[in-house]
Amino acid sequence: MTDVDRLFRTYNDALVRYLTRRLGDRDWAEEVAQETFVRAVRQTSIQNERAWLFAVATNLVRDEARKDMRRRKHLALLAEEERESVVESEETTLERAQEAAMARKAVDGLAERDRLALLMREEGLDYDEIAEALQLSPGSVGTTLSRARRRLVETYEALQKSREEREKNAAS
Amino acid sequence: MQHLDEGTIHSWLDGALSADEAARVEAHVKECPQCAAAVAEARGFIAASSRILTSLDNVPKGVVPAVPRAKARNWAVWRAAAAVLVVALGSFVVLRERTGTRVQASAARTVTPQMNRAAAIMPAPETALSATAQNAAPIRRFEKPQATVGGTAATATGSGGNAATIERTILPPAAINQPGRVATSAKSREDLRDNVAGAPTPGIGSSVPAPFAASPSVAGGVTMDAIEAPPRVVGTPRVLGEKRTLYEVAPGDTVLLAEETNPVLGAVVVTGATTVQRDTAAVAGQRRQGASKLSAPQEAQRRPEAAPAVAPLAAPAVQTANGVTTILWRDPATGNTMRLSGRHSPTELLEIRHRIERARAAEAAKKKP
Repeated sequence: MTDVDRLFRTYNDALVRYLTRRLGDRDWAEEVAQETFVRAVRQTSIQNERAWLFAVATNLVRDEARKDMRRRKHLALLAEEERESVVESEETTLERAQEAAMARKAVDGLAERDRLALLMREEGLDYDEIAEALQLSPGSVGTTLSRARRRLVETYEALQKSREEREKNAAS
Repeated sequence: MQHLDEGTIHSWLDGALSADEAARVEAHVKECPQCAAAVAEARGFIAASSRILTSLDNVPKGVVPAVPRAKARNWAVWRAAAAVLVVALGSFVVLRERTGTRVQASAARTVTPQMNRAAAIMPAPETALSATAQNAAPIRRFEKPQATVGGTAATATGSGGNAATIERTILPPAAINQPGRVATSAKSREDLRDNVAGAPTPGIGSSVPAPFAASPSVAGGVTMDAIEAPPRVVGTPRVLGEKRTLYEVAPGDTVLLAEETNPVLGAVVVTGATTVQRDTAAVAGQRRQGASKLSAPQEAQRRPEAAPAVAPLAAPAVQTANGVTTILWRDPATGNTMRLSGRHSPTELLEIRHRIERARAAEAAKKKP
């Protein structure tokens, strides 16, 4: 097994999940993940593989987004349409789709650094790896994560509450 | 020790603190209810944010696959192929018949050996019957796709196969017109052919409800329809109180003709008898093989029915909903309300209605004694 095979097998799932959560688009996430592994092949030595991969993937997303904002908007729109179409086509997934939409809104409401730190932490990166990937001081990761978590949960709960009120009003 | 800041609590819960730091935090939390509450809250945030992020993984990918539609398209191709074959054979029959009985008789006599061979090659009697029924009863044509395959096989068996198929197409009207003979044992080829050529038709034929009626081109009576093929019946959905017929006006393009009928038992019986009649016709084609199952008493169930005639009608009502246009009118012959629906413009539907009525009238005229 070559080195890139091992890297792919070890980190692809987590990387794609991280990117999917970050981008809201799985196809795009897989594309970025592949590009990340291609970059890894060209690298002669990587000190911390996981931190490096997540950092490169994050930078690729950032660069691409900067370079091609229109495409990103288009994809986000498509993803949104897809979500909506699913809501229409399957009643059983309605609840889950609504939860996903609220989660997306709450995640998007976070500051970029908080969001990335949280998403990386969810993929098992330790504080040092997060600090390295995001070029933070290791001591600030705890603060970043605590802020991200509180904000995420509070925003989500606020969305949930307003939705429940809407449903209540609609019912009465 | 002062109270723990939130970052430290999260670091501690995430296991990111050194052993010394972790021990200090732990000791403080044990003594400080305020920080213990903060730790509990932080645990809640960690769990909740994990759960929220997990719901992001429910990213839809792809759309609902359209497999059934693809299958339907395949059927449409087969139907179109079957329709082409049937129309070609039907036209051939008309042309042959119009050239005269004598020519046809000699042709039939010529092909008899090959025909018998072709019949023997037929995979199953039922298939052969269905091939016969294709022209006699357009309804069945598409209900039994394998019949088309059978017909094709017969055609492909040799030079005589084609003629055999054609002669079989001639048989059913004769069988319908000669109900008394249905129950008789095997007849010679010539007898059957003679029936086609000149037998008078008792009124049984007219009891066939017009939408179910055979293509006029089979009988060769209506030249007009030999040129412009009438809409083909591709299905008859059973609905009580309505006689529904699906016509295919172009490959894959169907319209629905609904005719209000009086839902009395007698009418239902007649409809059944009609189906039986088709079978009888088909069996007549097969009696040569000694497989006749049905007999004349079924004729008793048939009820003479007023033959619809082509007549100028009042302007029909037009409705359009979801791209489907429906025209309504009253059939002057039966007094029934007719409803024709399809994804067409009202003008096109009127044209289709005209074609259907012409086919029905031609059929009715042909069946009259």
